[in-house]
Amino acid sequence: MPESDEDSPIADLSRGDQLDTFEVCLSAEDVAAYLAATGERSAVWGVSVPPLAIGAFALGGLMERVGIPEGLVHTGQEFEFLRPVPHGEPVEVQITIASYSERRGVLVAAFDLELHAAGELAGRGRANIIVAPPETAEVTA
Amino acid sequence: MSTEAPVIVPVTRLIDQARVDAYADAGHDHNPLHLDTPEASASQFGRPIAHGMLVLALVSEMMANTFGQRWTEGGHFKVRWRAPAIPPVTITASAELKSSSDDVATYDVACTSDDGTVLLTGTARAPLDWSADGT
Repeated sequence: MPESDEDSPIADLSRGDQLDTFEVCLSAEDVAAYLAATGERSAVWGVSVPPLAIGAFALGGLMERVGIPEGLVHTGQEFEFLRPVPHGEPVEVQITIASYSERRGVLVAAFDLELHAAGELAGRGRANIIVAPPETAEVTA
Repeated sequence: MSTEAPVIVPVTRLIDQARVDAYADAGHDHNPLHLDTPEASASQFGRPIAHGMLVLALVSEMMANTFGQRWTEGGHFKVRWRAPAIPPVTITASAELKSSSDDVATYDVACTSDDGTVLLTGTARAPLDWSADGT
């Protein structure tokens, strides 16, 4: 359920904050479900996890932790993939608030993500969001 | 040895509500904005919209189809969503070579709906110092 901006933990964040590290782990079944949902058929993912699936799960974990405030808009995404992650390998997700500002009721934030697997940096990225009153939101993802 | 930047074949897919629902389950993203919910009906769109990450998945698939598993070893993209994808919609992800050097190729990428609406734009790059089929 979306929360009001004031009720969501997102309202308590500040630039530089680090969220508690959490783990995502995609089994072969998780990967199969992801591929079935996206429609991707590549045989490439028979052993390793599609890196964007890891990103999606990491972002899901982020939203679980900061809440889904009403009017949340995912405006941009950057990812760099550095190492394949086999099915079932745990990935540690570290998230830092890269920027956070609010003006005229519109919150603009960026979250930096680092993904570590087996002690190595497997990927990193940045998610950009805005939280705006619905009547002012122009792009929603 | 350098490798010529490959041409990337577009990916086209129908995104309907069943696919969005499946993605919500598979990706554990049940934001009501994407589902048949009162919140989606009350939104500015009046109905559910697809997850942005589901649209973006077409870009990653397109790159992986060309670069194989090596897409996971140096692939990079940076995109912005430009418009919501409202199911049912057929979306095509495409890439045009922007620049290349001996070891990396950079593409302009986009996702466009069947009515011509640009849903996503950005860049993607992949390393070239290996065989393009990822073997």
